[in-house]
Amino acid sequence: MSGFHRLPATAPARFGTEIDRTEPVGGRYDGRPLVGLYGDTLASALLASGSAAFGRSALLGRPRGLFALGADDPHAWARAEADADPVPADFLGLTEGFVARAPADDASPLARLFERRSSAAAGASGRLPPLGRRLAARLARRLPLPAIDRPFDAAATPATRESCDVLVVGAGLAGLAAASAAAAAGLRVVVVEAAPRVGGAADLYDGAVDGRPPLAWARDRAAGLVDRGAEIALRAVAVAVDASGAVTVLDRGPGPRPGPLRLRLIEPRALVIAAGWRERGLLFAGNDRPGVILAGAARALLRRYAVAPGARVVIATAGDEGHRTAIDLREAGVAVEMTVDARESPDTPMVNLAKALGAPMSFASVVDGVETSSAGDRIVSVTARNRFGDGVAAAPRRLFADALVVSGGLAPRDELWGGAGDAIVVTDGPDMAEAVAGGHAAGVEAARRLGAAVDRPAPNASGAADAPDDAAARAAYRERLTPDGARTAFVDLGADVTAADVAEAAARGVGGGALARWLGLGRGRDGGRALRSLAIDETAALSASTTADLATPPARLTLGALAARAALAES
Amino acid sequence: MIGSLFPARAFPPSAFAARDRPRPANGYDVIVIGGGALASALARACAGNGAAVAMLAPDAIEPTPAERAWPVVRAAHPDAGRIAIQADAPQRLAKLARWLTPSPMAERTGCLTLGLDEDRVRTLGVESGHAKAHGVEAWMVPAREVAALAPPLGRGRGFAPAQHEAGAMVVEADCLTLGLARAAEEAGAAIFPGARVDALARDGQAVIGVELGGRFVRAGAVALADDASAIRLVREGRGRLSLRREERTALTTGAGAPELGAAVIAGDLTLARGATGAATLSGPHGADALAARAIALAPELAALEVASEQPVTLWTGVDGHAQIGPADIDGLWLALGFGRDALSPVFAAAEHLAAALGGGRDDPAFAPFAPTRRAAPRLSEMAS
Repeated sequence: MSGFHRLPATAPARFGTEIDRTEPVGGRYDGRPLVGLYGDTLASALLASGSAAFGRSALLGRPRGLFALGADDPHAWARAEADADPVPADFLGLTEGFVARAPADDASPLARLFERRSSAAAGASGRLPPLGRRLAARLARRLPLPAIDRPFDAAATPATRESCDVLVVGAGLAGLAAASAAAAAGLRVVVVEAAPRVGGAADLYDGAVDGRPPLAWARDRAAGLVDRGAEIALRAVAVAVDASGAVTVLDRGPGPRPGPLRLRLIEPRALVIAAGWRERGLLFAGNDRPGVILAGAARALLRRYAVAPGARVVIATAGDEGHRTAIDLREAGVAVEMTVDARESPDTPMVNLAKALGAPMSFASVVDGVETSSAGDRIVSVTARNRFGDGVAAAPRRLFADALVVSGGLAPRDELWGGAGDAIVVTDGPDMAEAVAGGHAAGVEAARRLGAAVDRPAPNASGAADAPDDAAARAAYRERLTPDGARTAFVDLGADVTAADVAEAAARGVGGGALARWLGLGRGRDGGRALRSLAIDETAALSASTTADLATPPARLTLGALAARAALAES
Repeated sequence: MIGSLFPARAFPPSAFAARDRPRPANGYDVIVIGGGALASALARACAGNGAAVAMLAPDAIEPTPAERAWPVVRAAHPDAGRIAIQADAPQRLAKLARWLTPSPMAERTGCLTLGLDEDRVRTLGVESGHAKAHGVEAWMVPAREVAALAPPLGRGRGFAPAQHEAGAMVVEADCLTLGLARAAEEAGAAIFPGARVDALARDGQAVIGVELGGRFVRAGAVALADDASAIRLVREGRGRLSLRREERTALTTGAGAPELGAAVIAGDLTLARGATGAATLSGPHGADALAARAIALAPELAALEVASEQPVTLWTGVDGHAQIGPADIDGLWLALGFGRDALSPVFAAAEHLAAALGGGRDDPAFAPFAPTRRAAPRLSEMAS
């Protein structure tokens, strides 16, 4: 057994909270039968059935797997019906008799041919000679870019204009705490949430809010909000905030299947942005290979759907998230080969807990490459080395594993902050207690601005506090990157941009806003969000002039949606 | 995505992008202020004439918003004076594109200017006549031919007679600017990205150099080739530039725009599709209204995703003319106020200015663009 698989039924019951093992669900994916369990999403069912690759990258034709969750992943997307837009496979719930298709392959035919050839050759001799490989890559890159798969004649997007007292962006713990506080003051609250479920990442952390497990608390709060007449719009992405404070929301409706796109222009009297946090990736050669997955995504698959990323797992981390995932994996019966922590001597409760449980770990070390099977669709081993050592001390260690879980710490989802004007932004976190307290405070502040008083006490949240973000540990990956490694160290998965590409463009004099255009940063389905912080770090470090403008909105608007918004303004 | 098209060997690193590049020297013959295509072309032309040139770009070497919003090089223009100076612009670009690295990816797509009402059809007809007088192939075509030349328009309401200029070219403005800057460097110009000039250094009335990071850099002549920098340096130094401003919005879509066939001007809306398959739209009244108008024109655009939205401020001389030549102030030279069609006059203006800076003979075609006259006489001249 290697690669993604479902945990056996003997695994502890806390893994697989969303699925019902006694209720199988069947349907078709790309014409082939696919069986999952009730509660599965398309992504989890596909991974449980053993298929790790979710398509090929557009420019280089490299096989790619699931890297992040939801709309942050550039490749794990699917269409629910024949003409529907692609939506993240993680947002597509399985129902009996479902029919889903993969979006047309983004990779151009020659890119695919090239990758198959080179990977076959790599099986025999390790790899193609660098010159040949580079020439082949250049040939692939020279092709015209394949068009992103989208309906040709999109029907006019229906658009509505609404207003409310308080609009909360994000239905995670902080967002629900803010909404509850505002609703308790008697205000009319609307909550918009991009995912089809409430709670955000609440179920990925242990702890308690008001004495309840975090997710149960979140669901209670959501139900309570609906009872009070608040609206919780799921599958609704807040895309932009304009100068007057009106928020453009793309809404696909609740339920397991996404509905047609609807544009809502919501004009709140007070706006709370509680968009939460996104996990950072790590920069090393081959960080795009199928089997490399973010720690949060790995833990979500494990806890929600009882899907393990592999049989033997290596964890690369620059913070406590990796150790948290290591503990989960071990409890689920998955072998953790090693936790490679870039920090020198972390002494946090989470690390000590992992130590006490006997998880093997190595400090001040970084992962600097992965080796894949000959087809390039599966990890075989991971190399790690000391962060500081030179000479013998820097000798690489080869760790055999079929999955690599990475975590570069958490960064705030700040895409909406820029144009937000006088919005109330929840910047507290990422710890649960801070997030809940910050959310409640934001709700109280929103009510205060509207002249209402909140008599509800702040929720009492408790959970293990993580060590603060260690930027030096993250930077160790940049420092250890070799020029050859930089050729496959990606800073934007969807657009196929590597650290070497950024360095080359910067050396040739491309700078400022031209750098992002030149490299095509953000042209993939994820809009560059999957590895956004890597792209920001890399362009800031290499560009001689001002930093590139990396606008990665939560979702892209089409010209049709803009036109629909213009029609709203006229009426 | 553009960068992936260039082999590394033919495209070595630029000296100006090196991290440890030297600081500007103490003096130059000419200092060009600006970082766009015009500034780069001017630096290249001056260096080609043998002058010691420094190009001080306030930010990165990248096209100005105006140059990016309408990445089209064409000969025809509503103003007959402009036709006289840019009549050979597409040919110059085609010649340049053969050796410039990176290639500007110029595509000879042609340009359609829609005559949306009778008045405009008449003025376009007159304009075509002027163009013909300068040997430019621009003529009026009937509505049916417009639908054939630019099929997406035919499916919208783009049915109108139009002026068709077959020789117009769409370029990648990013590549053109970088290519010109590198050519300038090869010709001997010193290029400094991220060098924001604090003020013009004066000796009495005359400009004798610039203040840069608390340092004085002497210059025989200072050429302002960037509207925004010029306004910052001259207006804030209580000088007058006699420019009119126009606010517009530019939208760039993701790759995968339908083949437009030609670049399109419909009233104050412009639409062009570059070699990478991304369309650039620009117009007044904000992004939403712009999108609505573009879709009314060509419904196929509706499904395109918006990659970036950028406000564009265009500057034009008060009489509608650009200002190219020596300013009232000694030692100060101007090349600004080109308005919506910012890329087309770049080559001719740069060459003319470089020749004038070198003491060459004046080209009579540039006489209407001489900036030495003040606003009031210009306006009274227009009224008479």
